Amino acid sequence: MSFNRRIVLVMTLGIATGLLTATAALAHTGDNVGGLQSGFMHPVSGLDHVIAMLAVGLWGGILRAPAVWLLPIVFPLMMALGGAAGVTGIPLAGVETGIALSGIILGLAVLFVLRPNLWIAAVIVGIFAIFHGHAHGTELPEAANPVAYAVGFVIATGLLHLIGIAVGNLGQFGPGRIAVRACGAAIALAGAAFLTGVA
Amino acid sequence: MIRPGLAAAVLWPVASSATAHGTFEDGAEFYAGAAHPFLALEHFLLLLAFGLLLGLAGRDRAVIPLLLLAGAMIASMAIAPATPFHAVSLLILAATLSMGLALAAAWPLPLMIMALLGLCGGAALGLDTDLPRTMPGTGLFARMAAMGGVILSVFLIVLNSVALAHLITHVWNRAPIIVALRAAGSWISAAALMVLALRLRDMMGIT
Repeated sequence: MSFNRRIVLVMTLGIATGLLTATAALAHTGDNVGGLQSGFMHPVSGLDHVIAMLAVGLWGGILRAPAVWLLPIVFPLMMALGGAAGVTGIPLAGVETGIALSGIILGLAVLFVLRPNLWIAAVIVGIFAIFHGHAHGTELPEAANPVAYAVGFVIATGLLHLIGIAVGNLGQFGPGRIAVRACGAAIALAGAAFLTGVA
Repeated sequence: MIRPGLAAAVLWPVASSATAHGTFEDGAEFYAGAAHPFLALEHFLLLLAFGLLLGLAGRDRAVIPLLLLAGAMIASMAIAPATPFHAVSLLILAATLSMGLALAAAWPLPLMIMALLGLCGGAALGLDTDLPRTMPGTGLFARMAAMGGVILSVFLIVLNSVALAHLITHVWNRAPIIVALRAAGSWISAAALMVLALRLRDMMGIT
């Protein structure tokens, strides 16, 4: 196994294990913990956010370099723009619809292994990132510590991307391709459920 | 001859804590100062971004910007009572945002710009630390102890960040790890942008 693949596999296993089994390390009480923890949990506790973040990583894993690292770098930045709009009260129509659509579109992109030009993929991801960011940003002013909150949900978003990338890399192998596309189908279905109000 | 592993296994249950050093009395100001850069996340993000960017450019070019950062910080902490500047947190966040973007783009900034960032960043951090407000009625020695603690922690954060970024980009030089550095830059700038928007909103009274 090449060095790069070992790195990705080890990081993914470690992060996934940590996310699934870790309990809160409340070593310090006070505003910092409240803000950081709340911010971290915000994307993770919302399934509509989780599926979209995973889909970005999956799609990046399918598209390979440079999309595999460009998309997870573009997403937080565009998300921050949307977040800034949410914080300052700039309205954005159809935020929840946009978030649900992100699951559908990105899930379908993974399912059908779509490989558009890099800039098209970046634009699609960037547009959806604005919707997600706006949803996070509207809650930022209420956070006990806005900086910790922002850091928390940016980190959570990045870690979800990383898990998606690691799973997306499984598409290099025969059975892995089917698994990745199945994940895309599941994400698209979940997005449709959110859009129609079933979920 | 006793094997080291066997010796460790025998001695481990009977070992007691080695409390060779405890907190020293009258050191509260120093500890408070040392903790400040870690607890003030805006400051920590700026220092982290600054250090990572310095390491990206190469550790050999880190000396001057780092000295300017420390010098500006000491000077601004010393003169803070005379210069209340309430928008200094905006400067900190704007500097953090720009440095995070440069890191995300893996763009090593010229030495002149890093030196300028060090100067301005250090001044802003020192003013925002605002020792007169956080330590009212304390004597000169206590304030100096606090400043010493702050500077020590600043060096800890920045030097470790420089070392890490230098290792990633100049020693290991592996694509996935360099991407992690760029991702860190995007995270830093994303967090800074959102908090900057919040501060601007509060300053402008937007509801």
